[in-house]
Amino acid sequence: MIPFIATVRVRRPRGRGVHLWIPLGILWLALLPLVLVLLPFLAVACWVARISAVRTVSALWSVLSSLKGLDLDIMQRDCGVAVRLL
Amino acid sequence: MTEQRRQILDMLAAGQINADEAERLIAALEKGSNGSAGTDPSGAPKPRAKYLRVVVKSEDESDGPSEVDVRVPMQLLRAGVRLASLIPEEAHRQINLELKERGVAFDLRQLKPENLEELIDNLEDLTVRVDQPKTQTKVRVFAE
Repeated sequence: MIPFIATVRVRRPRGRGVHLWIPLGILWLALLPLVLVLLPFLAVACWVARISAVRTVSALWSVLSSLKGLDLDIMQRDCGVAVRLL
Repeated sequence: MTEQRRQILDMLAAGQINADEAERLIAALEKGSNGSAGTDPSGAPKPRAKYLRVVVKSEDESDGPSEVDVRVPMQLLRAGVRLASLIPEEAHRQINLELKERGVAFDLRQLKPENLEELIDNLEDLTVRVDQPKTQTKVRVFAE
């Protein structure tokens, strides 16, 4: 399953931090037409490189769908950014 | 009784090793066989790791302490290996050549999902300390 929500948390030394919930579903829907436009180009690129287009799409999809659970947390002194894909 | 255990007892009987050494050898043998079967000391099967965690803690004199904590799903690593298998032959050759020039004699084509599983299974907790004149960095890699 592809991630549908990303949370971004920004910690600051002073004041309130920021905690954002980003609905990725809208982003995927917005990118869908672009993906459809790019598909023929991908097919041509795969044909030139002599690799299977089906396997390429399947591998790209598996990368996208396994992003769920990715967690990145960076802290420097009192500041920090944390990104989590749900 | 396994062949190795019998050999240890033969060595003990022949006086080549003492009882303490024999006990230690047998314990190491048991630990090794448990590890290869993928079980913990209690005999229960080891749960499969779901995430690879990389924690980098740095202590810098001028910038202060900093920490990077990354949790990567194992599924993503497997997908990455799968994607790497699609790299065209010519690109593989160039990558391997560049790696070799930089002193890394590694063939990317040899990297298979099974190798990754083996690496993760054997990776329990790896800690690397990097000491520089003004910075101390500790990198910890483990599966959870």
